[in-house]
Amino acid sequence: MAEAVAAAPHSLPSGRTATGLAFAALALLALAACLLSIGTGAVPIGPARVLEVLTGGWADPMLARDSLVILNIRLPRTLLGLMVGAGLAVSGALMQGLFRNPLADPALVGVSSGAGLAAACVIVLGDRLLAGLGIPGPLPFALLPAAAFLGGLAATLGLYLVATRSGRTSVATMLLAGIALGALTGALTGLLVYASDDRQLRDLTFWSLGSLGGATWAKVAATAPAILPVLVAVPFLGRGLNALVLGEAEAFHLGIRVERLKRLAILLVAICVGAGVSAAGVIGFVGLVVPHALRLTLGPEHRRLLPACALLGGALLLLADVAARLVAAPAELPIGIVTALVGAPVFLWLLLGRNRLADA
Amino acid sequence: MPESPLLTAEDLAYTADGRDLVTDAFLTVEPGSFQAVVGPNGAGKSTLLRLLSGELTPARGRLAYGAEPAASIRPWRLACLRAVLPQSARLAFPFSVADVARIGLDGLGRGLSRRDRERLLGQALAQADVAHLADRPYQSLSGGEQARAQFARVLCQLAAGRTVAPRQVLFLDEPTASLDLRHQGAILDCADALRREGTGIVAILHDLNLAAAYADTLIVMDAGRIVARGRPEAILRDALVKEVFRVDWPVGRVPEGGRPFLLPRRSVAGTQHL
Repeated sequence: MAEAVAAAPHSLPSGRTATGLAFAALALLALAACLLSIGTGAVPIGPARVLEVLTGGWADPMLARDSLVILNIRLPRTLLGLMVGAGLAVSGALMQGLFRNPLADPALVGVSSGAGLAAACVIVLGDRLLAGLGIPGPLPFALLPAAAFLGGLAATLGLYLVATRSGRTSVATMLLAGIALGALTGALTGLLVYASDDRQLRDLTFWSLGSLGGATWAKVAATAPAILPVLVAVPFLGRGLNALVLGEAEAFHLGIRVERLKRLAILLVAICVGAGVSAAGVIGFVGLVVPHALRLTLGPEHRRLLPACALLGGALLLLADVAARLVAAPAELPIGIVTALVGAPVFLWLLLGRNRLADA
Repeated sequence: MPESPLLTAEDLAYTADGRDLVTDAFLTVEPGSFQAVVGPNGAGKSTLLRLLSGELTPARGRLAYGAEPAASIRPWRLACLRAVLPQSARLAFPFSVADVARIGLDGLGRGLSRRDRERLLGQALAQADVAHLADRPYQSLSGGEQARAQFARVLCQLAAGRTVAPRQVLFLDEPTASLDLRHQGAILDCADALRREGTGIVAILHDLNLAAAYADTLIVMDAGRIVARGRPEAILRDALVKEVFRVDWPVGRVPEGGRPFLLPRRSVAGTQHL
């Protein structure tokens, strides 16, 4: 073993230049998706015009109509989509690192529907509760993200406790527990449907399939303080998550505070999913497809993977939103349908490929 | 303080689900020593190793690295003081062998430039005989190759940790379990080279012949207790083998040096049963 002592420095399989190029490409893709998203709709606006308006042209009376559309409707929708997509993809990658398996997705294993149920409770029961207490409605919007966060946190914790025994997570148990959790939250949300009036019913439908249609600057302002700090914080979990890939004991041997890392990851997932669900409803498969695609191209190293997930997740959700707006124009499809149509086959393909690696 | 023990364990005990997995364990690890923990399945060898590495908190007793109580050492520093080679580990994500080994360098040590780390990585891959597999996905390797990739990771951790703590302990949990004969010898030779540089080695070994060949001290465990300890040639005798391992296999002696060895009863001429 010790023959080749003077070994040459090992060449990186994916060097720094390659990583830099990949990130530049992802940033360009996100930018292009933004221009497309801002330009698409009942009033089509070309990319040049979009750039003109965004770089100070909004005061120009010649551009008044486009400025109005862009600033009041398209821009908040695009920013919300970027943040929600980034949050979903990053929380998917975090959950997969935490559960040490590539099939964990917040929507697939019931975390998103847990958050959605909590939000639905607030929508349906909140008004009544307020009325009962004699406080005039409507509910402050900030309550929804808070409720969704708590719902997502409870779901993630519950799932972790059920699926993990003495530091080992069973993939089968996790997916089955996710099904049970999804069924339970679905049933409870169904109960709420009976108790809701027309306006609440429309809100609930929106929640269960997901849409960026309700984007306003108020929603952007409520979502940004939750998701943006997580996106900044998440690369610092990279070293710990890399070590956790080897196993919990091995991560401890490598100097990682494992319990703290796991608690932090669960908290960040709940924040991202809670903020995303309360702003745009339950959108599946983004957290599954994006990290998987990036692991194939950039490799599984978490300090590269997590920021890349934010870029690609934001870009892909915007593209899905553009598709949702175009397919049945002038009506809009719920965006969750688009992501599921793309994501479900990828999930199946992942399941089939897993047998080759035999990591059941 | 040149020759104070690297590690001192006194009266360690660990209980799980009402069963005493380890009781009354006393042990010191001296610099440049190689101790082999042997014993039948379920004797508490792995639990003892997990207690010594700080992974489990003992129900009773004291554990110190140098003069510092282990419980008060921060995980990061502990990772520079000792490394652990696990029995086997499967990975859920397609890390390459070089990626896996690099995890051992990541964030540990002090004052290492990117160049230094790449040099240490190259050395570790070569020492563990996985340099030719560096770009292969870990998941696609055989069990023995995976074990060697993990060993490269452990060598990286020791090399990085040495910049902070020069007095280190290496724990090996059945390091030879999935290896062919050449790599069994190679991994233990590599551990022995570390021992000569002052690292204290504690290895769980099932093969008493390998234990007798490499260890200066055998620690024999049975039912959670250390039942015998000493130089292999002093303690490895027919009676101990019969009592602890419940087999009636004769202990032989190598003509030169008198190191003990063990053969299955069936292969010893004239004494076949059945």
